[in-house]
Amino acid sequence: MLDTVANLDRSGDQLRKMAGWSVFLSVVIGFIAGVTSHSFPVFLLFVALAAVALAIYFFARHNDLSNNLRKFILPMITLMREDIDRGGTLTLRLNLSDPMAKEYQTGSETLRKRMNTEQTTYQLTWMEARTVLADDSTLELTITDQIRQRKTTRRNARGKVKVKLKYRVRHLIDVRIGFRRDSYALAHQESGPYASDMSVKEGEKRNMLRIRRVAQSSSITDTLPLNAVMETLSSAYGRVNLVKQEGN
Amino acid sequence: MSKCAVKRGILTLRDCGEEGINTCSICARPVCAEHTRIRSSDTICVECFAKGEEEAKSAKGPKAPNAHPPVARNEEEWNDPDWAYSYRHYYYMNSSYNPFYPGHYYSDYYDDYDVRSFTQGEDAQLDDESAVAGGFHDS
Ligand SMILES: [Zn+2]
Ligand SMILES: [Zn+2]
Repeated sequence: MLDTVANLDRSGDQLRKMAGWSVFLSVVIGFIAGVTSHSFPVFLLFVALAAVALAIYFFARHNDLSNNLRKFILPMITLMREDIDRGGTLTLRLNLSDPMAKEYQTGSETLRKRMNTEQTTYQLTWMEARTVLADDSTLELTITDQIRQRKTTRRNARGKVKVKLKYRVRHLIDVRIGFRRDSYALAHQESGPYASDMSVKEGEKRNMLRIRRVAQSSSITDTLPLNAVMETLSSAYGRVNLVKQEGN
Repeated sequence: MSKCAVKRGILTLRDCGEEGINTCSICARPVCAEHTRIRSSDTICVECFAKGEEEAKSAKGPKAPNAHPPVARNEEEWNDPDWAYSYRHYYYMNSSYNPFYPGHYYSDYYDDYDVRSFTQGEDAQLDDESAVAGGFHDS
């Protein structure tokens, strides 16, 4: 299946020349029942259909198919599926565009201290997922890439111009989890490595935990590691304790 | 035969709920059809299967937990039906996360994972000693 997508990616070169498409690519998929169906083949089928749909949307665009799909989004859905009850819904909003496309540019300037260096910044939210987990916690996961490109132009002794590109990529992982008060109590002490990035809002039915974690990289080809997101989700669960239910 | 002993979930563990129709030849727990795997003609549960796969992998490669975050480890194998179980075993063993299990069908099979639940050490609040354990299973 993914091979198919990858092949389509290659043949998409011609399609990419097509002009006049809307600038924003966003796909909303509700994997109703599919993602959380009983059988794995059915799940794969749904994911495959979704991936094909994404790929088709994508080829209307002028960019390469994002590695995020293959290396992050699909595995992440497979993991999240384990924590969702059968028949549950996972709503995804994906943007697989090249984050360094013009429309995602947030700034461009020549560095004051180094006049030969031009800095361009980009920002793209490429994944938003919303679901209710098997323990009845509500979950919202948002992932945004912030890219800083520094282009340095140098002339060597023989007058040849050399261009050097340097990147800094920040993956912002934003998680909002609503823990049912009758299932989980807030732990008193803030523990865990990301406690400081966590905010808690106590509600009548649910306590909402908001966490931001940033994963950095100096390469635009690295994809966000799954573990970075799993650890962010884990840190939310590290902030609560099970409440003893009546009759336990 | 009793219910399948396999647990679903990663952040929180929950019972599979199906009838156990086989017995795992490694852990001897009942296991339903969906969670049964065959490895060299042995009938085993998907959890033992995934554990075995992970342990074989880490025995092969240079094992340096935490030194290198498991970045490009096996994300590409996500479409293997057992991948989530392999990842889960890997994640529990290499991260500091202790999953919750709010149910009653716990077994010491998960002791390595330091599961947070109530089914052992009832009434952790009763005395200070067990309160320190805070509902954790012995590690
Ligand atoms: Zn077993
Ligand atoms: Zn089962």
